[in-house]
Amino acid sequence: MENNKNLLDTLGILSIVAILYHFFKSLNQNTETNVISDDAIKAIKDPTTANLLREEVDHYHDTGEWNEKKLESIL
Amino acid sequence: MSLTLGFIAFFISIIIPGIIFRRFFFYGEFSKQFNTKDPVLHSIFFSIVPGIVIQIVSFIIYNLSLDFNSSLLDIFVIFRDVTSDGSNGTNKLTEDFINNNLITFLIYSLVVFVFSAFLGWASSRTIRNRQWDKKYKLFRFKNQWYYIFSGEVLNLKKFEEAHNISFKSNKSSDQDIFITYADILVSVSEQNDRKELYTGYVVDYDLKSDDISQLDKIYLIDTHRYKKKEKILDESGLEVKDKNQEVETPTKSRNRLRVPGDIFVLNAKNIVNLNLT
Repeated sequence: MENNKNLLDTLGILSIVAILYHFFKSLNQNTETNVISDDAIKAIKDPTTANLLREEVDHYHDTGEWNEKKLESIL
Repeated sequence: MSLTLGFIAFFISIIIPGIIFRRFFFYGEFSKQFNTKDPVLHSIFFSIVPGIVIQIVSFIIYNLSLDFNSSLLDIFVIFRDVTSDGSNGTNKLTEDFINNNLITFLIYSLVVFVFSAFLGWASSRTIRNRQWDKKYKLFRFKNQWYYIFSGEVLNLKKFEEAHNISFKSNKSSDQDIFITYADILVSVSEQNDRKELYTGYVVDYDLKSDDISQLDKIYLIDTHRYKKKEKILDESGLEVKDKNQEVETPTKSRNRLRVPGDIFVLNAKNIVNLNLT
């Protein structure tokens, strides 16, 4: 009887910890405050992709349209 | 306000929870809104409202979960006795509190501090997670430059509508923004007659410590400087146009020179205008 009570107590505490962890994790999603994404930094560090990205920006400035497929391949 | 026992009690019960709440509420880029250089009275003033709310909520939760032996009237009497000069005598309740329950009060205060930190953390994350700051002005953080440089400004209601009108399509809705490209026109002379155009990717920015609505510096990477193409004139003084050149587009009217180095810091004081992509 005593063992069962201890087991239930432990399970109860574990459930509360799991609920709290899930709550913290879900609340923390999409809350970043970055001006630049990690993928973008990676792309700019490589001179080849940096040039491609700049070409894409130039293309957008000239035409007013993004080439989404090309952008996705760069980023 | 002199340093009386009443002021210390007020500081511990209201001001500190309020300050802790604000410290955890303004996180990441918005932490610029919580400045340690703020005047003390300014910090105290803006901590009073959250402090009172936290104290009331904590008291209700504590009362419901642990069932206090004291009522709100008891707390009022103790607080009145502690803040008064003692000319009206001290109630027995207050004496009992000081003699026996001071440690309990300190433990309660520590729990309130932890609760304030959690509440500050959770409320700002909820606002961001639910995007209430983009939907409602009431929840918007004061750091407007974050919304501009992160591109989130395009998802604000009025900008979304403006974007729809100018582009006839909802380009900005649910758009993922990875990076912000900036064309920055800078004045390089005091008379404002010489200007230079820089371009690069925005990686960071500083705000003025005394006024966070003002930009102080912008940090760019992969920076280039535009230089006007020199006109080639013929013998009669007319411009000679390159026959091979196609229709002149904004990006082809100038030469773009790479600025050597890793990070380019621009002083915002000299910025004439900014074009962000």
